[in-house]
Amino acid sequence: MSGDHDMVKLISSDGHTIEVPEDIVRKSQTLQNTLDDLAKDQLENGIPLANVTHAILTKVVEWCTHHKDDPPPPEDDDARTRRTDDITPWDADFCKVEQTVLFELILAANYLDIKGLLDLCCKTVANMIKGKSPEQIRQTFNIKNDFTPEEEEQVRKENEWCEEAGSTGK
Amino acid sequence: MVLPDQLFIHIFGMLDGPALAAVARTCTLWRAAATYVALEGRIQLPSRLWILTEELLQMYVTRDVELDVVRVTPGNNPLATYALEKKAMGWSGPLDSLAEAENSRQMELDGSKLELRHPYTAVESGSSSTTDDEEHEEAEASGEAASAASTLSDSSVLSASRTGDACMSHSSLSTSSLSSASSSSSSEGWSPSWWKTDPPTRLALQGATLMDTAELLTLLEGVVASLASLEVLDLSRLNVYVADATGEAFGLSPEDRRPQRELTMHGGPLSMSATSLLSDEVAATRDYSMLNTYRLTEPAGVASLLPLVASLSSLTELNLTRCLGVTEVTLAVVLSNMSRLRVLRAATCLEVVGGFTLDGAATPELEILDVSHCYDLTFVSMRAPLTRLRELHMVATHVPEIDLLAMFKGMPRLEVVNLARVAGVSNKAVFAMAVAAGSRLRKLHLDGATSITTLACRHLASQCDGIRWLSLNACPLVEFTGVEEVFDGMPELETLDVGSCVGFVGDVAVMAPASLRTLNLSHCVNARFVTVSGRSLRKLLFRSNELSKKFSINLKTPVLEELDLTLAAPCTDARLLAIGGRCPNLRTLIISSTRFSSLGSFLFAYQKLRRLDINQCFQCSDESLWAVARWCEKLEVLSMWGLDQRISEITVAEVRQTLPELRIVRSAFD
Repeated sequence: MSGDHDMVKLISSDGHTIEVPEDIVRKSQTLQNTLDDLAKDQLENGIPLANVTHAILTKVVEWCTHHKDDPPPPEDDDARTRRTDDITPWDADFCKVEQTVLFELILAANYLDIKGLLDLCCKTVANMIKGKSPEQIRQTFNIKNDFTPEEEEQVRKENEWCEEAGSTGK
Repeated sequence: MVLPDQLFIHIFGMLDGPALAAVARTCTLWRAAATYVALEGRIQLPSRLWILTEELLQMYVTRDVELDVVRVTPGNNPLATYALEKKAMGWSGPLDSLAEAENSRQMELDGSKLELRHPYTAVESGSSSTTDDEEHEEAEASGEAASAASTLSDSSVLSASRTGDACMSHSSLSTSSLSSASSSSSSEGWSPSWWKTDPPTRLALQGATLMDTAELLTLLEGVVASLASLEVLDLSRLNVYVADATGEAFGLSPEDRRPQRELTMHGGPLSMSATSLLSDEVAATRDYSMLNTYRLTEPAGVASLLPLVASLSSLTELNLTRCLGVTEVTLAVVLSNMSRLRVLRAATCLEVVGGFTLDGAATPELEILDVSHCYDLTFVSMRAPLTRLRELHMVATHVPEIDLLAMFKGMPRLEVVNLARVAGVSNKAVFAMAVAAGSRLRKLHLDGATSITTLACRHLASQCDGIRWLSLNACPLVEFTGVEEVFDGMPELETLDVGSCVGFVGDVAVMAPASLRTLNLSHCVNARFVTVSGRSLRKLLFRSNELSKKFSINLKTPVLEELDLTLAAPCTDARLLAIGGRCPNLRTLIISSTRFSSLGSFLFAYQKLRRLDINQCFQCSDESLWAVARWCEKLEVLSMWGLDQRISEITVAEVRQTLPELRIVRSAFD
């Protein structure tokens, strides 16, 4: 195994190569496996990341660098995952990006298997949903309502209980 | 912006009830994901009527969630229907409306055999396809003899057959050639003089076509009369053309007669005599499209059969596979008269009803007995031990436990035992067999044994340390600890099939012994975190399972060459990348119908691939093909049927230029 300050080349889908310190790269479970499993010469030309663009990759590296000293997140901690109000100010600031960028970050975090980043972005999206009516959600995410009137009525009926449950407290 | 469903599910899992309800009311896609979250049990819902997308359905199938009603959109997607069927086969969900009892009895849920596109092709008994293959091979092997036999008057057949064996598979003995043959020695029936001086010991008329039943009988009686030394007679799948004149003999009314109408009677002649044929005992249905359903109303008067069997008492091998007209009486007569019989194959003789007696005194030499797929076989009694029996095949019969117990006591030399889907297989029966066979047992099928438990594995592991091939496919009560015991007790085990073992629950860590080469872990739907390690594992089937977050193939499987992940979900790029890194010698990768997002993001870890299957991975595009061309230079076969709409002809042509040796499979029927 190599020293802490080795640089790893990552090639984004649009062809840019960036060099990242190995300990930062290891925040990604996917890349960590790649580093461990592939021989040195297979890595010489860099690791291609076919579905991460340069812009997003830069963001991801930024996040990983800021969080490089975090302890590894506990596995499947349901209670922690369900909470959406524990976002630090730096993270909240980090997520103040356009919606498309946020979604691309989610995809990248999922592909690279960076649990902390994935949770952060998903929480941000969840917070954008919470407390809104269906119509407001559609506007926020630019979703087209593709229900027929009958279906809409059916869905509304099915979900009536939910609104009651909400009013009587969680 | 569309995310994969798993990610929506991840996000929606963070919502509370009211927010989830709001999400469910936005659009169809989000509703499906919200539904899934609800089904996951994170939030309790009173209503259980949901619309599931295909992708969600796949995920759903790998879990235990129980639904009362499921509506599948869009339309009746075959993939979705298939998934539902799998679910409904009784593995964990109710879904009674979709599960038909007959299907669950017949359908072979062996992951390695089941075709996704045509789930019901597997319903046909496996033997039909294999015998067809055999037939084909045999026809090729005996090509010379067969073609020669088609013109019996030709002198070449004489030289070809003088070697001692006569094989007429697939030949068509024309009336003219037969008559010319019989005219040469008409007084003795059809028995060419050269057979008298140099008689064959083996006669196979498998699949031969004759013009006329009467001529067939003449042929047989002539042959049998002059061939006291005949040892092997194979009459399976014999076709007889019914000429116009004999139509009457079969009790057909004149308007039903057509010249050259084909009547297929698999091996019928053994159970018929000329008299029974010429009387009105044979009836034919009028559905000519179902030739194989022609049946004999009163097959095989024992009286007419006996002389024939008696004259064949020197037989050592008899193959009655798929013979119509063979009943339990036929088997009883065969077993009591042919004292030199070594091999008796009577698979798929559907008219065997009830059972027969095995008597080591009457057939002391019997080595192989095959009564598979005789569905109405309900008992076998044992009179004296069969001390030489090596192979016993009883697939899908209804022999009860008590008979099995008695049988195994009298079979001390068993090496190959196939008890797949036999009604009476129980822990006790397995124990009796294990004790009787001991270390001699090499190959054992216990597929679909619904009542055996982990205890049976313990019996086997303690008694049968010589097993090389073990199948416990679809044994729902066997738990994973059983596999561990099997590994401990069978140091020579090479192949293990534990597909569809729904009793594997939770974490499953397979530590394959050094001897294991092939492992089937498909459809173990209740296993969550699967780890496989093994120093010499070559082939791993892991179909239609949830590739859990922790699924991994330990680095100690450096020689894994073939990996089948068909339908495994979620099979993400990251997961595949990790697997590629851990299995540097992988030659075959099958990821059909999986949901990776881009081949380019993981193929560079698979540079030694010889074969890649991405059938029905509808997310593929031209780019995917370019990734293949770029990373897999050694690829020999690329199977990608179902993707014609996604990949342009130009790209295919260009890739063919880049990799001229590559064979691209673009149809499921290639």
